[in-house]
Amino acid sequence: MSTARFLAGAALLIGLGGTYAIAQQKQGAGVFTAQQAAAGRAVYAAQCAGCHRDNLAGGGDAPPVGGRGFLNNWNSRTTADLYKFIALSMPAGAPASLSETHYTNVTAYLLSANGAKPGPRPFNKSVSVKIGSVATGRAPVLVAAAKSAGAKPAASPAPSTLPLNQRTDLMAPPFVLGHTVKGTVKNYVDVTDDMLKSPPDGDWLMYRRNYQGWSYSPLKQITPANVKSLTLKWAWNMNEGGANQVTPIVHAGVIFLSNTSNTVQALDARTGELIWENRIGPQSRIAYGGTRSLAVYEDKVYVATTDAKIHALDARTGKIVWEQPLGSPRNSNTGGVMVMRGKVLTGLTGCDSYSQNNCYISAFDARTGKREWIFHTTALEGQPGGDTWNGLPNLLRGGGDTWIAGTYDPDLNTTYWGTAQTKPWFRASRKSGAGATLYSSSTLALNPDDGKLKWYFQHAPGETLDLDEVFERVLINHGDQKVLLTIGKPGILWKLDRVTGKFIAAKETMFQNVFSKIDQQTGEVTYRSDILAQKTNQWFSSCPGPQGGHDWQATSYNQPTDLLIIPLSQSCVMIKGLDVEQKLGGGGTAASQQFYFMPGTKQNLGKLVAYRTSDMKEMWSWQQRSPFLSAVLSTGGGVAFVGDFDRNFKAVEVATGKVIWQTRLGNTVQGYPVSFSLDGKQYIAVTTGLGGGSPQQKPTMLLHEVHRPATGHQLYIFALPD
Amino acid sequence: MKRQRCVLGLMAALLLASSPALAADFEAQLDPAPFDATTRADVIGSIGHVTATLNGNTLTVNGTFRDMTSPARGASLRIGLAKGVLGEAIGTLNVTATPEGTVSGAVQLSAAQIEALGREAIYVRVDSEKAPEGNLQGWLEAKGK
Repeated sequence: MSTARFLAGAALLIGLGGTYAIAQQKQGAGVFTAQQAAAGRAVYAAQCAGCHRDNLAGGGDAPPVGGRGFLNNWNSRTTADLYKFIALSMPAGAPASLSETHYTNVTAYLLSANGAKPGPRPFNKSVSVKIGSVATGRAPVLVAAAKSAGAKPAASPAPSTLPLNQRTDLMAPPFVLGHTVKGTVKNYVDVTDDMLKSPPDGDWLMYRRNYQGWSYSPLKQITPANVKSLTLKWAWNMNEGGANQVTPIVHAGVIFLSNTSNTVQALDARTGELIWENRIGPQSRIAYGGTRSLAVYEDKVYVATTDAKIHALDARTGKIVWEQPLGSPRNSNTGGVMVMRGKVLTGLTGCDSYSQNNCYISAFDARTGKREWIFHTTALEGQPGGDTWNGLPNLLRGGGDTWIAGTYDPDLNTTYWGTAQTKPWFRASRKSGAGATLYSSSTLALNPDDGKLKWYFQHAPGETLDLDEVFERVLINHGDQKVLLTIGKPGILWKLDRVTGKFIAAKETMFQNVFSKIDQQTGEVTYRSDILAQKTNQWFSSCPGPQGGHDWQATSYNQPTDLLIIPLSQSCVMIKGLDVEQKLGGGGTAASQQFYFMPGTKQNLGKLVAYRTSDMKEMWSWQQRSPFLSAVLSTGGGVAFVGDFDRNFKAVEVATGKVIWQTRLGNTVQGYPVSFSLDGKQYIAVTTGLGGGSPQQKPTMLLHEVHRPATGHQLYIFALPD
Repeated sequence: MKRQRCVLGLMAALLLASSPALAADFEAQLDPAPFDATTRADVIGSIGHVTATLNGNTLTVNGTFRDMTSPARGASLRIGLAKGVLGEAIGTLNVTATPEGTVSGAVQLSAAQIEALGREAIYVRVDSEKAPEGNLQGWLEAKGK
């Protein structure tokens, strides 16, 4: 090839949009135009990449839409099927909300990014060609290359013909980042170590209110007898977009509130007046990226943001005091932060994509921001536990995310964290064989001073169906016995000795068919035989599925009754693991799912159950159609609060489980309700929200009669009448 | 899986007795079979209910279904590794070829299949024109459980 011909060819490629044209190696007539693919890329970047990633590799609940994983999943299906799938179910959290043109263009882009060739005729939803006949599954590398080179989309989406009130691209107001409201909190009182150890009754200083992770307020003003009189005191609209799964933090008459788009606000708890606001950013992409909890300590508010950074703000003004990176650009943080012994501890997520830094828990000096230590939650080569990965190199040791903040026992000076499963989800995808893949799906007991591991207990060695065990670790004393309780997606309630890590008991709180045996002496689980014999691209039944069982909607330990109140979800999936690219940037969660109701539940997705923790006896339970999307809050007044997918916020009598009050809010009750008091009055704060993974996705698919607004992130404050 | 173990014990006792005079009653709600976004509209909202009686080694199934978006075109009794796990057909059932109708039939079970019934690993599947690989499904449980 002469130089001139080479340059001419290169120019032609650039003219076609570069990214798309270079990978058109498959033979056959084009089923879309280059202009559609270019326009679709812009739609993808705005509406899809938040979950499926810029490199199309997928992550979390989002399957890969590029490469071998995509082609294995879609090879035998048609372009019309792909269009239909996207148009009916995407974007996550707002299915069928884009225009037909947008869906057409993004379908064209995905075909193009997987090696299909453009042609003169435009794609439309009726064009039905077997995807395997036009796509090769090769091209994402070029997409990533274009991004790293700073390339911009070749063209904007075609002009919409929709009425203005249906133009989703016009709905969001311009989002200005920065310290946007500069008020000052008056009469702020520094939060001390003693306050963190023994929180004042009227405050909610951390994620689960106390170090022990109880989600329990000792306040007693609201009781089963008067809860029916609860009235709304004020409400506050929060940022839309992203996943709203927040815990309001309350101190000194101020609510410190993390919004989506990594925005922190200080609100007067009496009036709802905004005192200060810092829009740290970046702006949240659709559906994903909640910041579940802030922390307050001394004169600072701490927030870990979805771009994997940690920030300390002046609690009085909202001004940034220090900030530090947490991980690589592929990482994120949604699990919130905890402060103990002058250190800020936080986890890391987004560890499904193969990267050099693996996953870990970090600790920073609360005053200076200096990083004190990290603990790798995937055991590395040559380290203790490093031989449990079937010989995989460190690069391919994905997962072990810590997307729920840990708890802490000051007496034992030990912090307890749950870890997520290994990534990709399936053993066959990640090629980890029967390896336990430590320290995934485990409880970790760490020394907060130096990050050294005291003990671990792995609940599901070599986990393989996206059944996390990452959730809250609840610390309870029964006389001299110091125990830890936790429950993961399989719905098994675990009880461990938190001094030694020794297994004490396990209870199945709901139907599950994943484990054929749970050894009641050791806690060892045995997978169903077909799961052990898995291959990629095979379907497997999983009850529960990735919704859980139990998910991030936390339990509440009601100390006066010794009851642990657990929100559960009941749904199943057919799930198959996909092949992955075992290279830097590859991996992902790599699975495809189908949905069905759990047998024997009569299509009730929600279940609320209370266990007495001393003897692990179930004391009451009931089911309902909608799953619970909020954590449980219980109080010293004997009332528990919980909210559901269908917008109902309910009060339950702790002793009996009876629903004694409920109201309907503006959207799904999602987040972590809290209780606080001011001037002798008890308040209940609860948020509504959209966005998130399986807990949003599964009921959206299964509950066909539930219709929710497309917006509605809000904070509501309830109290008894004055 | 603890409840299934209890039912398994009951079924083992029944099997040991092996008398045609002994009968066991089962039932299942039929719910939409697994779907994704492209097939959701074909199955969501449909529902049904079946009862079944084991007499000796004959399982007799009777039930109804409704709200399917296309006519039924077949039904089967099927076995999986466990409750909730899909598997192969072990017998054919009759259906009325309508979106709302009845399902019925009798299937001779082997000893292993009776044991699986006790583990709640046997289920009924109704197929339709739009969902030929399964529109409704439901796992048989001991009646009154």
